[in-house]
Amino acid sequence: MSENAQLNEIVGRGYQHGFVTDIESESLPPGLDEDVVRKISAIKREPAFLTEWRLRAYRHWLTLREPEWAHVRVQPINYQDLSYYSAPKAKTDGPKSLDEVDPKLLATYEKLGVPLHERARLAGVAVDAVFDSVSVATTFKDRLEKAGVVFCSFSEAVQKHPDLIERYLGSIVPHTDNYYACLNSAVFSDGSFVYIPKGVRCPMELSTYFRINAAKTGQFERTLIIADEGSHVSYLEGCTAPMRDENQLHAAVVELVALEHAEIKYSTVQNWYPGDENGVGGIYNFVTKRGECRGRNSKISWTQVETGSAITWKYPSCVLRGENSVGEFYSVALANHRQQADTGTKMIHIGANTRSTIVSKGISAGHGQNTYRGLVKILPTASGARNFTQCDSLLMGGDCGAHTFPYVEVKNPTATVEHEASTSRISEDQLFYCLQRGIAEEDAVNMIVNGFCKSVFKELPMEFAVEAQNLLAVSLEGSVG
Amino acid sequence: MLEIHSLQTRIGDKEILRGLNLTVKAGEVHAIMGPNGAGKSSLAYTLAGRPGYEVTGGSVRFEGADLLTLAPEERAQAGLFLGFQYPVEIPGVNNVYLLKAALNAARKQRGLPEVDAFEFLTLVREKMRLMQMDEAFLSRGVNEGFSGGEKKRNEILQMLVLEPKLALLDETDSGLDIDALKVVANGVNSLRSPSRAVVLVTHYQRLLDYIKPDVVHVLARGRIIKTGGPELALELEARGYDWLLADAA
Amino acid sequence: MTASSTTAPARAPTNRDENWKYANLRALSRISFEATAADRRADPIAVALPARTTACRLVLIDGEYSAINSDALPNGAELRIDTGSATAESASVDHYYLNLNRRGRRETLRLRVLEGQRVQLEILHVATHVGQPAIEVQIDSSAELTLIERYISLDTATAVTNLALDLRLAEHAKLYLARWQHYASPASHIETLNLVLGASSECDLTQVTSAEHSETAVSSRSTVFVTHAGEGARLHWHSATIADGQQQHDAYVRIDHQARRVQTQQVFRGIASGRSKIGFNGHMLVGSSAHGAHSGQSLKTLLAGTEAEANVRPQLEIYTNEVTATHGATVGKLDADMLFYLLSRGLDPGTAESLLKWAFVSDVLTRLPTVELRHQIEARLVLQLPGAIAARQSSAQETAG
Repeated sequence: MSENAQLNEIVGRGYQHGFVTDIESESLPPGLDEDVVRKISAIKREPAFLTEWRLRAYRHWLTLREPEWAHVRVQPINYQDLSYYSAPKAKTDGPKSLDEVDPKLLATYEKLGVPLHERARLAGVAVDAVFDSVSVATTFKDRLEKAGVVFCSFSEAVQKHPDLIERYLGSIVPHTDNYYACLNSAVFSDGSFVYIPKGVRCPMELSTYFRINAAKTGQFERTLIIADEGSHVSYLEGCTAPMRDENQLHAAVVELVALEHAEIKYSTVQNWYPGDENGVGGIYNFVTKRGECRGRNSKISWTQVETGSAITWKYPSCVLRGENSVGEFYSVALANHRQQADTGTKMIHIGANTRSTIVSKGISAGHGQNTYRGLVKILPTASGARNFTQCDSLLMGGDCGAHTFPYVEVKNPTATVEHEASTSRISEDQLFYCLQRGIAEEDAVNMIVNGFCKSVFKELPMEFAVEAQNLLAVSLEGSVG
Repeated sequence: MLEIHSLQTRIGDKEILRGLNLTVKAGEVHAIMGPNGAGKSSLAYTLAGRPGYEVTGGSVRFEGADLLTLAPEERAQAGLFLGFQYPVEIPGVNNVYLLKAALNAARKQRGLPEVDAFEFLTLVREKMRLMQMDEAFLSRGVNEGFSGGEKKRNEILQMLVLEPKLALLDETDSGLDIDALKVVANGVNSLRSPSRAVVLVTHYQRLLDYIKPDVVHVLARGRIIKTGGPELALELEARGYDWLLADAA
Repeated sequence: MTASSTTAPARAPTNRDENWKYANLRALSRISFEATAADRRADPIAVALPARTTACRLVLIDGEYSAINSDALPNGAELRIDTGSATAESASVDHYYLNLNRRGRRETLRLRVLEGQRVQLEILHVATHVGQPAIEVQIDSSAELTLIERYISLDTATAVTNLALDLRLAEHAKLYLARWQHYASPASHIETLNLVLGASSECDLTQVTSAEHSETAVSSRSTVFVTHAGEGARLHWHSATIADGQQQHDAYVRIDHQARRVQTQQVFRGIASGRSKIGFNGHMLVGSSAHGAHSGQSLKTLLAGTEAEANVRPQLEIYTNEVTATHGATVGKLDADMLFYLLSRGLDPGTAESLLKWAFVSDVLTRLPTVELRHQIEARLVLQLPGAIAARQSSAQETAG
């Protein structure tokens, strides 16, 4: 079979989560002004400090322009055309328990492979499910509460833990940070909140499952995770959206804080609708994720598998402030068809003996454009800091692109920074070796691509590693290079 | 089992095989010797279907079927195994995983169910003992960071697990010390049976001390120019190839 | 990506421009390009010039050809000097200084190596105050040029050089280009290079940037555009920058692969001591027509001063799948294991460090095309790496033997 025919076949497999849930929803009309910001804040019954914070962000946003430096082509977004709030209509004031959740929503998550009934869930994972603008359910709350862990929707946290919100919100990603983060700060509707108290090892994996359902809606969620001294948490997010012809905006902000000896592991399997093979539709995934290792010996580890979205623009970063703190970034990014991915990380070394590791695996197929963009910055205070970066690209097909734009800035002579990068297509020798052992071409390609990504997959929690592998196989089916 | 008739091949514009004839029967071990650049490895690659080796004439029948119309993986599934001279490294792909996938592909072709995980591991461990390989090999990437000798042992291990009908071993002896050579030869000998055949491509007589061939061929200038018994290998060791080339010219 | 469609001439770059992020623009922006001092071309240079590295040497004083100080051109080459400025303004911010040169240059040197000829020559740039040299080199098919280009300053307040160098290789042409920037007095050096490689042509470029003394205030910026325009062209790039004191050196090198089976090997070695800053931005671009391209890049910088700084960008931009590209970059201190090995053999720490630094830049020095040039460069560098005399002597023996 010719390369193109196979590529087309792969492409033909299609997106598996593209259905729409027919559910009545309450939405604000399209448009954005100070009133809309106030309305969102009012719907959520937020304290004054938060309303003010949103308004400050909104006013600042008006002074900003969309960034143009990323290696992506974006259709202009009309921000007045979007609705900034959409929630499934609830009979009561928000479900108190799973029994009160609309069965249609439960069915939706079931269909996505994320059943919310606790008996149906794997015992080791607690889920917060976010549907359009609001959190619809959080599982295993009782068990977590016993351990002292707070895991709830952001809205609930605003009501129950306003002190923590006021203290940490915007402390890692200030509302002035960048265009999309600023917009998010003004209009964010919900998201997840996690607080792990001192010395607690979170008894199960925490996860948030994001679903965009409504049309012409932007999704702006905000996640805040605080790991107090000596605590440990592993958190995972998954994302899907229906197939629609127009591009939809997803502009999230994630903030992580790790205090002394604390560890946060944050994993993402991102499978937003990527658009069709001609690049029609798909999610614009413009996300700001940043963690700060504030205390000594703390650690933040980002792992991401990015197979969806029409455009991905995200750089999960670590500010390594605490002495001996550790930052990690493991990424697999796939750009097939007309997808564009511009992703990478920033490792800002401030404290002495801070260490960071970056492993990025980019796969380009079809007309996909895949860019790694990364900054490693060693400040004068970061004596003995070390970074190792490995950045590999795999090309499948003659019309795709793979780009690597690293920035290495070192201002301390005792630091060591190493960057290695390679770009090539699937080796014909490797392919032939597998064929000679009797393995069919498509299986052989999958095997080699999975091998290429292995050093990232092994960082994922077990069950998600399997999911990620399958996702990659589906996204690439037929893409024999 | 294998009948090659008047096989002609080229790579790009370069003629490699120029009308090669060879017949291998079940139960036999053949050795193909010859000077550098004679086309020995090209013959092995052509039979395995490596892209770039273009067949311009002749025929190859394997178990009665036309081998040349089959895709590389179909040839493997049909029972043809190539032990590579320079096995490629495939980082991140587990040895044991490749082995299992290959075995299951062959079983599927024969209408057998997938191998049971426990049985599979028992089988592999047994073969590894024979090849004197450490268990740790299994969890490493395919040939990743292996020494030359380790790669060759790994090739033979794969062969033992896949139990091919016809094994083509391309310079399996090169780069091996004498102990490793014995281990590799043991592995090959354990596979010998009336229903299988082995074709050894080699430079040196040394390997044939440990794997006794039934037939020895000399391949030069893209053809088999002489065929004889094991004594031919000894004669080549003593006299080199020049006398034959002079005769053939 | 900075894509501007306006036709207005470029504005001055700022540190917000991607390719100028690490340039010492504060120093550059203070420069005046108005040449006011007297024309010194007609006078023989009074001070002793460095020894010739080739039989023929052309001398430019503040960017202008000085016949009285220059040798006759060897056979096989032609030289034409056109006076006056040039037009053709570019809108790209990366061409801002090139535009200045075009407007401000007083003459253009046009050097041509005729088909099938082999020529060796040296161009010595002597900076006294402000110069905007403009040189165009055409190497005809199957011709070979060894060109040594060096930059020195006579003792002055501050020398300013803004160079435009244009090199074109026809098919099967060869260029061995060695460039050495070695100012003895405060200097600002800006240059824009344009190198176009024809089919099956080969360019071996070696560049050393250094200064006579660690306290010499030198600031430089190189903007380089290489285009692999013809099938099978090859480029070997080796550059070393040794910076000390408050010196700042920054380079942006864009190598554009636009033809089949072209190859690039790029090696950069930087040593930043004192409070110096080194920036190197190596941008490899492989276009969709560059099937079978190979590109390799190794960028290493050693930080040897407590307040030294290095900014390195190994960039890859690839639009075809028939390509192999492997790139690496490191920034850091000397390898502790190697250092320990030397110390355990009884070397004092200073010598051991110098030896390792010497070894570090020798990847580049060994590529210099003439032994004479290599010895001259080594003789200067050894003053900055005092413990390395032994290493230098052994390398001198190696070349002699």
